[in-house]
Amino acid sequence: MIYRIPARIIRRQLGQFIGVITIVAIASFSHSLLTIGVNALEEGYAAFASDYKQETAHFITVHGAPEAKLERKYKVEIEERQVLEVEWEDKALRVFTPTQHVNLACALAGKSVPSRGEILLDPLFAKANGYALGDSFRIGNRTYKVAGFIYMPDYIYITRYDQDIINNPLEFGIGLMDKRDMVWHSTEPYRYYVIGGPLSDVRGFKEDLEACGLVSFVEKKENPRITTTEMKLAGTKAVITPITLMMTLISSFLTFTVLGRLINSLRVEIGTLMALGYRRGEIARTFLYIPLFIWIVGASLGTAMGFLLTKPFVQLYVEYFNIPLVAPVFPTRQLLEAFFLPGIFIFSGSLFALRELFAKEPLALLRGSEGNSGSSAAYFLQLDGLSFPKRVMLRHGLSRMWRNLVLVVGVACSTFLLIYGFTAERTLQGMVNQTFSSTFNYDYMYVLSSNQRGKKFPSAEGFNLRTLYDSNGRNVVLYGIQKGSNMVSLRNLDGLAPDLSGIALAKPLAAKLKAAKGDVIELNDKLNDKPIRFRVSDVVELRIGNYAFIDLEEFNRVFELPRGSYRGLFSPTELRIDESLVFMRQDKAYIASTFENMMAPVKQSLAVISAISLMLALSIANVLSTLSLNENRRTIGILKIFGFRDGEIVFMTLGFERICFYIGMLLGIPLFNRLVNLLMASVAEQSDFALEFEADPVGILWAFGVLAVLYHVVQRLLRNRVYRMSGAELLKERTD
Amino acid sequence: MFLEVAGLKRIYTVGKTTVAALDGVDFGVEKGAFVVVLGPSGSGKSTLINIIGGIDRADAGRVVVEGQDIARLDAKGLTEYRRNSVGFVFQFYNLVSSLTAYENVLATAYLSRGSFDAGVILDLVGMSDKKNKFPFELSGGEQQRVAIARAVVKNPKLLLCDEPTGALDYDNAKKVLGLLEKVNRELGTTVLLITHNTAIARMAHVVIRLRSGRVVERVDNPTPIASEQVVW
Ligand SMILES: Nc1ncnc2c1ncn2[C@@H]1O[C@H](COP(=O)(O)OP(=O)(O)OP(=O)(O)O)[C@@H](O)[C@H]1O
Ligand SMILES: [Mg+2]
Repeated sequence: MIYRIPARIIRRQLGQFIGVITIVAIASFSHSLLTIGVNALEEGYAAFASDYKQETAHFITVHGAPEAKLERKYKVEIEERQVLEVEWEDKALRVFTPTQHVNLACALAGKSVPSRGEILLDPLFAKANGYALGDSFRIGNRTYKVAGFIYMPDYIYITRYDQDIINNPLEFGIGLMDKRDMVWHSTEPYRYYVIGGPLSDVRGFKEDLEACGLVSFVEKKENPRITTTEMKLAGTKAVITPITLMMTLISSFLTFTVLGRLINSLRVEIGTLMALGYRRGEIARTFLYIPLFIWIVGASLGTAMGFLLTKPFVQLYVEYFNIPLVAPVFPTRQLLEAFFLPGIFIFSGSLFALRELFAKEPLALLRGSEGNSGSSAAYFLQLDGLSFPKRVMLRHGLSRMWRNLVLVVGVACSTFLLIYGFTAERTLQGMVNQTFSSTFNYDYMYVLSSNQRGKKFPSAEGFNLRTLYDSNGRNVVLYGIQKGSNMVSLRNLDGLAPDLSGIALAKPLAAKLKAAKGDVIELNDKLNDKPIRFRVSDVVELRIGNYAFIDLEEFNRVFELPRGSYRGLFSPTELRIDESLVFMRQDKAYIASTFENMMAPVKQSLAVISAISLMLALSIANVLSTLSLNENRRTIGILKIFGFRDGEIVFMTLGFERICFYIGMLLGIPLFNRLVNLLMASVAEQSDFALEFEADPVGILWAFGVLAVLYHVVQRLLRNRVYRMSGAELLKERTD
Repeated sequence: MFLEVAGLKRIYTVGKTTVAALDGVDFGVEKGAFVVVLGPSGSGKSTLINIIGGIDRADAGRVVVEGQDIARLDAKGLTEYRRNSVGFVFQFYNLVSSLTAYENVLATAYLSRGSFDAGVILDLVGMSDKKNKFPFELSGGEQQRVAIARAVVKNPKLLLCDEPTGALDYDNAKKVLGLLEKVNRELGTTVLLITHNTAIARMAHVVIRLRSGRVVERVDNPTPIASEQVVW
């Protein structure tokens, strides 16, 4: 007969159960949505790289390489492909011939192998420049038909030059065309080879190539067009995962405690059944239907919602990372996790509570007393000076310290997430501004094709740069800049001009190299692999990039260049330089704007996180308050009969929780300042950004404002509920 | 001896003070007896009956029911004891609020193989017309009648009643007493009843008087009066 009890209890307190179910749903939802997105991406990329035979290295030689001989010797696949650099206006398209064994093209639409007279384009370039399938594309005086949009496994992050940190699909893209077409445009033998399969003896391989005039050899791990994306993937995962984990933990912790309280509120009924002689097993089996119900409904809803929203979310990521989804990703593991994880906490919370009840004498339960779980602090307090409602409120609240602590922690964590959501966007913006407006003062940067001396452009400033790499193959871009440079204004961590007598590292770089001021580090010159030892003379307040800086003359000395020579120019205005002298040019405004675009999916994720955490905070407040009202029905009935007003009753029974809510909100700030930078340190290690978060007043105000307004609404609803309770009915419910 | 209590002690400690709710209680009763426990408020009546019923624990002493010392039982043993031997009637009814009157009775009928038919018992307490109502839809007297039906339906050896009439008016109280008498006389159930009302003591076979946790008087009454004749 008692099997009917759970359903009746749920029906009777439906409002409260909906609240708890919401929390469970949020836990499942946030877990599935965020982890599915990140994992789909990771798996998608891995599948793309292996299915489409991403290269292990590529090299360029002056004369033809003995492919067959090398393939046999090193047990790898080598394929030659031809390259044509098509330039017009300010744009450039790098066109390759298709390959059969390494770096296969993956078609987003149309063909993946071009026929004669056809050209295939990368989707970013096509989108930015408005090319559709079937459009014509002119190269010289010939016209090609755009027959497909393709992804290439060796050009995931599509940049024109190795040292570019930002891709610019408007100005640069890649394409594929038939070999016979390519020969028509250029007869120049440009020997570009790709290697597939693991290559163990890189050194030997390179030596064997010396004879055919090796120009460059780039392994996959030092190819920024591959590693940039891999790093960004890791960085995204690093930002999302801990936050997801945190949300899952908070909501799980909540379901744990809420279920405990829920079961606890049924103590009289459980006690009665025990007194009647029901066995614990029988009682447990009956009452566990309640958590079972909450779990099944909440987790199904949350997981289903997460799954439905996964598609657009993954789509967003995929576009951003420029990775094709080669196989449909069905996130079985994440969905199962999202479904079962809350279950674990729900049942353990319930079982703990039941166990605690079972440990007591039935009599203690029948009395409906809290036993001695209430804090004795409440009894020692001198409350004489206070008004009666305040006294009741304090006593009431202090005797329930533990559960109020849950509220404080829950609200603090939610506030943390909300501040994060409201601050992150401006922090990212600030980082971009700080880098591109206050640090790099130039608007144009030119890298020339040969070393220069003397001052040819009065407004411009000479600099030198060299790409280095560390023992892990990580690139470091070293700038030699002039003393007291006007174009690059650096500040060290103390806000002073940095010491450039050795190298000064940008913050994220220092984190990655684990180097501090005064250390000596060894980096290799990318040109000739020569190891060079540098003394780290400072760390500079620059939050993007793998940059290092050194005094220009020191640079020239280290690299044995003539005094006063330079290779690049920073300029506040566009320079009229003969195109043939320019190796590369960069427009800063454009870089800054692309950079902001790059942040779009991170911002999107943050918005989702904020929204979820808001729901979470409110569910916590709502559920805990409702529980309180239910647990205090009798007191409320008596107070009502005494003639207290609804507002006073809410104040007495829930006033302390309101205080706890606000305390939780306030604690959110130091929690934020502590935790967020721990989190960001791990991000800096894995990406080229060093985000520095500070809970700024605007973000805090927003977070507090939103929380306070919505909490007010919750309290209003509770007051209405108190209003609807009838004193007589409440007293009749008395069972003890 | 059906029930034997010896040297029973129960000591509560609140802060630094200790209260001996039971301070060495001894008595015994035969099977089928109607026992009334009297005593001023705070004398330990509820404590005594709760320990006999196996929902509270003794600090010292024995409670032997049909040769079994229940003070020695662990929680599991106590559950089985309650399940098989004890019927409880509480002062404040303690019906399961999410079950109807009929379902409340069914809920204990289920516990024992020797149970009576729930419908018949509800009829016996005069509640069959309201059997589908929930506890909060019933008056106090009605709830108590359902509670008695619930306690009796499983045909317990021992029926324990803690002030079953305490919250009832005269007529309802008389009805409840009549029911308990019927159960005692017709089913041979041993009944232990706590009350403040000395008038009720006249229908008992045994009257035990408690004061400050001790038995101060025991009266055996070979000729108890019928419940209808009890007046106050
Ligand atoms: N949980 C408890 N903690 C502390 N003291 C208790 C507890 N329960 C009972 N007492 C004390 O034990 C003594 C006996 O209580 P008990 O409830 O048995 O009295 P009673 O005879 O049933 O009184 P009444 O007629 O008022 O119901 C009282 O002094 C009471 O204060
Ligand atoms: Mg009592």
